[in-house]
Parts: sequence; C-alpha cells; structure tokens
Amino acid sequence: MSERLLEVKDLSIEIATRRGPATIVDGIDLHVDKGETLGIVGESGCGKSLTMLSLVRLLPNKIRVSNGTAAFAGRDLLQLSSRELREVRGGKIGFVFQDPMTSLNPVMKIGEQLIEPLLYHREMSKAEARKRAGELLRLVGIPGAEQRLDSYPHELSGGMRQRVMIAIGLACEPELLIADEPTTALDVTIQAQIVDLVKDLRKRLGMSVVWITHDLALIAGLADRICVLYAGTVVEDAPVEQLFAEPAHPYTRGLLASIPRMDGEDAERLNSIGGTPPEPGRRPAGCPFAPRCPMAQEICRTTVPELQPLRGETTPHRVACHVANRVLEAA
Amino acid sequence: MLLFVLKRLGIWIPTVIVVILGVYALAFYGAGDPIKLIFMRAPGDVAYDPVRIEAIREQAGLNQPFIQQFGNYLWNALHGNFGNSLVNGRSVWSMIAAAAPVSFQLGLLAIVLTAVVAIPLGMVAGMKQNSKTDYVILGTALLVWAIPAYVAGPLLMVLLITILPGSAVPYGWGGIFDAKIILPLLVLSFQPIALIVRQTRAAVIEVLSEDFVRTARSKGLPETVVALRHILRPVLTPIVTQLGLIMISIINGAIFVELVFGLPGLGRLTVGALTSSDYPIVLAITVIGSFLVMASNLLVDVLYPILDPRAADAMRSR
Repeated sequence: MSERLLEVKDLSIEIATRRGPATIVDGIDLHVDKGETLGIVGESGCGKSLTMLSLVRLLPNKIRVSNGTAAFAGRDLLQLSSRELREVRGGKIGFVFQDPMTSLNPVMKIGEQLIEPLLYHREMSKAEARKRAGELLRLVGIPGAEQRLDSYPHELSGGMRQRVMIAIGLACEPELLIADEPTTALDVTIQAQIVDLVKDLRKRLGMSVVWITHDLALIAGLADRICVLYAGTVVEDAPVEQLFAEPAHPYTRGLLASIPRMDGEDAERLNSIGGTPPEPGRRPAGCPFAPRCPMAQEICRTTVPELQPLRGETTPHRVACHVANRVLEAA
Repeated sequence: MLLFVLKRLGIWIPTVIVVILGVYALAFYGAGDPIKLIFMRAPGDVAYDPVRIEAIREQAGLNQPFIQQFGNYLWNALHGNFGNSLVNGRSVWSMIAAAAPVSFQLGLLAIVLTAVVAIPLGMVAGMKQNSKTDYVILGTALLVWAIPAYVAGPLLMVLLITILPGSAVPYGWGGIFDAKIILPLLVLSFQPIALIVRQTRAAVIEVLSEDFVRTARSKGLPETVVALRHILRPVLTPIVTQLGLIMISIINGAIFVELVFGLPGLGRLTVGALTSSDYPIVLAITVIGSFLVMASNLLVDVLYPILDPRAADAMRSR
C-alpha cells in the first residue's frame, strides 16, 4: 500500500445559527496518498469545500470544526499552533480557489502576490523571489511571464488569473495542492487547459492533488480516486474506473445519469435527481439521501449507513448504503 | 493623469461661475438692502431719505441690472478684488487672508490627528470583530460620537481651568505650536475620530470576507502582514474620501469651536458677517468654500489611482 499523506478521520463541522449549532459536515473519513489525485465530488453545499478549508483553519466566521482529526505527514493539522499552521499554509499545502476574479488582491501586482509565499516560507531575498516568480509564471504557461509580474489582476483574463493562482499555490512546491473548484468560473475551453496544466504539473512535481468539483465528467480524466460527498458525509469512495464502472450508491448513480450524453437512446433527455439536499440542522434520522432515494427501504429512514468496503475487506471501493448490493444487481 | 487634471479644471470654471451666480442672486434678491444697511449704522437719517439713497445707489452702480452687476462682481473677483466689508470698510480679501490660514492649519492638523488615531483603532477593532478589544474601541467611539462640539468644548475648558491648576486659559490663537491649540484640536477631532473608527472597522470587516484575504492567509502570511498588505489598502480608499470631506467642513467653519476657543478663523468670520448682513464677506467665503470642496475632490481623485490601480485604468480611458 502506498504511503498516506493526509488522513482525515471523523471530521465534523458545524455552523452557529440562532437555534444553536447545526452540523454541516458529519463525520467525514477520507485520505490522500502520496502522489495521488483525489477528486471530491458533490452538490453545492454538501461541505466539500468546507472540509478542505477546515484543514488549515480557513473556515469563515461562525463555522468551526467540532470533532475529528486530520493527520498530515504524521501531525494532526487541527492541533497545530498558529505558527506551525502558517508553515503548513502555502508551504506544505497549496491552495487554488474557485473564482480567480475575486481570489487575487485587485490592488496588488501579480508579482507582489506571487513572491509572498516565497518570502515567508523560503526566506528568499526579493530579487531571488522575483526571479523564481518569473519561472513559476512560465511553468504555468503564461506568455511573457517576466513582464506579467508587473501587471495587475484586472489586466489579465480569467484563465490567466487562474494560472497565476495555481502558480501561487505551487510557489513553495507543496506536498499537497488543494484545488477548490478551480475551473467553475471559467469558459469550457479554458477549463480543459487548466485541467491539463494541473495534470502535467502533478507529474512533474510529484505532488498529491485534491480537486474539489461538482463536475464528475471533468474529474474523470484527472483523478485516481473519487470521493462522493452528500450532505456532509462520504457516501462512496472508489478508484475512478471502479466508480464509473459500477457505482454502488444511488446518489452516485444519479450524478452519473445527470451527465449529458450525446450517444444512447436518452440523448435528448437530461436526467436529474428529484428533491433537494437536507438543510443543515434538519438532517433526517437515517441515511441523509433516503428522502430522495428511489430505492430507499425502511432501514434507510432509521439507521445511518456506515462507509464499508463493497464485497469484502480488501477492495478499495467503499460505500455508505444499506441497499448497495441491490443497487448493483439492478444495474 | 495630467490630462485628467486639466479636464477636471475645465469643469471647475463653469461650476464656480454657477456657484457665484447662485450666491450672488441670493444676496441680490434676498432680504436686506445693502445701501440702507450701510446707513442704518451711520449717524443721521440717510437711510430714510429715498433721494439720497437712490443717488448713492447710482453712484455705487447698484441700480444697474442684475446681470451687469454680477458681471462686474465676477470680473473684480477674477482680479482678486472681492469688494469691501460693509461694516468696517476693510477689503474682504484682507479679512479672509487673515482668517483662512488659521482655519487651514486647524483643519489639516485635525485631519492628521484623526487619521493617525482613528485608522489604526478601526483596523484593530475590525480585525478582532466582536472581541473585548472591539467592544471597548467601538463603545468609546460611539460615546464620543454622541457628544457635540459645543458640549465637549466648554466642558473640557472648565475641566482644564478648574481641575488642572496653573494651566493657561485655552483661548485665542498662538499658532499650531502653541499649547493653546491642543484643546480646540481635540474637540475638533473627537467626532471625526469616532466616525473614521467606525467606518474603518466596517470596511475592514467587509474586506475580511473577500476571497483575496483567504488567499493571502492560505499562503501562510502572518496575520499582521495580511492586515497591512492586503486589507489596509482597499479599506483606505473610502476613508480618504471621508477625510477629505471632514477637512472641508472643518476649514469652512468650525463655528462652535472657533467661537468657544476664540480662534480667529473662517468660522468666526462667517458668523460675524451673517449676523451683521455683511454680504460681500459671506459671498467671498462661499466662493472660497466651494473652491475648497472642488480642490479636495480633485485631490481625492488624484489619490484614488494610487490606492486602486483599477481607478488608474478607468482614468486613462476617460
């Protein structure tokens, strides 16, 4: 078995509301191996971004981790002092955020923003950091890299800005790059470029990547393994081929069915999953997906299913569903 | 940038003319006959002798049509001649030249004090939103905000005179390096400080929720660096505008403070001129006031692109 880089166990996150704390993320278990790319997939609001943000304490106000551990290279991230945390942020774990329009400081030059992690983690001089920043921009494929250091974000296109964000995330060659829906705000053609760029860089730098998205089709060609999240829990976790070959959770099946296809008899119709996810604080007693599940049984409404290996202990394919075997038979 | 400033100045000229026209029309058609007023104070019954009044009116050119008189006033004003005071006959320009520096120095000093005290306090309060530090800073600001200058002024004066023995009465003007300036300066800065603290705090809280602040933190920067490099600049943009407005209001007439502390500034001059219907002075002060507003607007416009490069681009394309 390959070496674990990150292992999150039983992580729960809650939000303070007027009626008291409400759970948004409920006991998530997930792990990332060295050099692996993990795709985290789920609808908006399912807690996929919060889970990753919570690892380096970047949660918004009123949202906090209520339980769990997150072992990263042998240390629990959630117990770090603020000094240790600063070393991890940007140094060991790089971030790329969703919206490159708002994630870069509009009043600072690209170069200034790019050299910051180098100045604080690598203790480079300004001149060295600037030289390295130019190299980084070239690495992420920005034409005229050195000249671009003196540009302001608003002078670049969305795709270019996201490349800058990636350069910032990679500046200190982190062991883990967390990309939080990095292509959602971009044109489709640019999306493909960014995916290819990350694929290429991952290979060259030998880092692990966590790619958060709601787009299963996009992640298919990129991830080694996929974690499907629903309402703050992991419902299915499987190597990418297995997930697409035999999705065992009704929710995963629903997600796959809602990918538009140009072939097949249903090319005209777009499938969707009926209903909406539960609101935080109003989670059903049993399986959170039960109210929307076409195959729900009595047990689903009363007992929360555990994330268990599908068919025996050795398989890396895990699913949290009481009726998983019936789902597979029905397929 | 130069082109922008020139364009701005081009818009000024008609604006100033319209302002003068408005004020002049108010004086012309408004209550009070300047000639009568002059002789009201003179010995004899001239004010009630219509023949003599008309003769003087004609001599002074005040029987000419409005537009001609206005034209004359403009022409003279353009040459720096704002006429003479109706009360004491001194040239309006010399009176303003004596009062304006006092107001200017006071206003500038008050703004510097406000910026130096209020912006850091507002930053700290905003960064530590809903903490004890925040409550203390915000609470004090609100308390100070609620005390008007005409209450704070006399109270502080009484305090200084009765409680602190041997201190001089803070009355009159001795320049900005004179200890007497401390009290009026404090009173003048109280409300602006409270205002700027609150505004800075609110702006910091807003900027804190911006995505780029999260990016800055995700790079592993210390919190002070995040505050000073990433949060301060976007916060400053609206604050600079506000400081400009406050400075104008102080220069244009810190009426209560100037009266209470006996400062010979524009505020006191205005009150005196208004109560004695000395309209050439009122007119001149209004013109200068409007000039100041436009000058500080220009200053803010010039400062903006330094704070926000997007504004610089907008300026170039205009």
